[in-house]
Amino acid sequence: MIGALIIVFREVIEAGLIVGIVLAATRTVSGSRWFVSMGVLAGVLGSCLVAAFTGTIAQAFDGFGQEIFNAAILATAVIMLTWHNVWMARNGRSLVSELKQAGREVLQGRKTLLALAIVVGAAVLREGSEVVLFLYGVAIGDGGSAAGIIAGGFVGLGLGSLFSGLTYFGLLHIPTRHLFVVTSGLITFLAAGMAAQSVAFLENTGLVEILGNTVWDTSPLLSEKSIAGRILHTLVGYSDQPTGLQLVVYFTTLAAIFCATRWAGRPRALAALESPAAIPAVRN
Amino acid sequence: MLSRFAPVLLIAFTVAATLASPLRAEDIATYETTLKDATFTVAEIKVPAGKPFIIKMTNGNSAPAELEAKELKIEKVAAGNSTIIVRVKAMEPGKYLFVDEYQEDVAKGYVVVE
Repeated sequence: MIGALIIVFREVIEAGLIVGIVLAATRTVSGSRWFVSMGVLAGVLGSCLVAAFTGTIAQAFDGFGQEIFNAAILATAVIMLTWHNVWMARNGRSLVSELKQAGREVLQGRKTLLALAIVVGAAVLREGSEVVLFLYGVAIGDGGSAAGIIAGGFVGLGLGSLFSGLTYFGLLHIPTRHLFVVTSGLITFLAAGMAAQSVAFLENTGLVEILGNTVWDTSPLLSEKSIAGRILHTLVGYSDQPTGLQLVVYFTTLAAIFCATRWAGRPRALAALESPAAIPAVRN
Repeated sequence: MLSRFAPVLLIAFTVAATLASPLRAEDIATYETTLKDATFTVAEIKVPAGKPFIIKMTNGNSAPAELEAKELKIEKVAAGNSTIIVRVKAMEPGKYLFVDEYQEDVAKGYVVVE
């Protein structure tokens, strides 16, 4: 039972952290909880689908379908997180300071919420399918300890949700005026880590081979698979054996999102965006 | 009408071809092992150092399995009664543990790089 608890818990940590951060980041946007819940639900349903089609996905792309699938999901999440950060930099201040929102703003708020719901769904999907497969495997195996293992699995799931709640309430201790800066920073690191992870999956297929040398090996110090390693892996993209390419992609993404967020948040950009000529840019 | 879509189709085809071809064209050594209950046969895979290789694992159980080897950067699920392949980069000589994560205490094997 303890074994099952640990297996499930360590799979749900990543999704738990992401849900907590997204909830905190969108606290000031109305309807955010509903969107996040829908994201989680879609992720759970998607997990069952992915689990059911594991064999089919694995056979795609000459046997590297799972890697390509994971890389694509992560890349999507990176794009959605970037978009959210830029949007919040542009509109976040008005959301915090003014409670009344123009119709257009609410509509766009919905769009960025949808982007983050996709991020949450993707996170749940990636880890969830493994949990579903594990529990399914136990369920169809011989009886005996199956009930205990499934109970352990659900306790693990509960602990993961608790972890998510702790992240959320922890972030809420930060005063609202700083919260935006903190969550925006967290999301930047989250996205950079995901971009590097996406590249790692592509490297596993043999598609990308440039800069494939391992730059450092800190696995004896802090394994990426330990609980602490997993948390750091999600939060800042910690890797115990990163390749050169992963580092390049990590820092490029970090710099790109940082610059884009800064640019979108500067007063001149805000003023320019409010002029009618810039409306198409706002729509994008 | 078709000409409008031709560039798009061309790009899509190029992307698909680029994605598909290197995976297939590569001449790379493949080592097989089969998981039945909690036993890998072959349980000790011998591999030359300094060359990338592929492990082809057949999951002979009806339950799903997850092939995991931390140091080899392998983490891949296999549906019941199915076969998966994983690509491993060139490794330094050494003995590397791999497990079925869903029964990691008992289902163990090693890749011996020499």
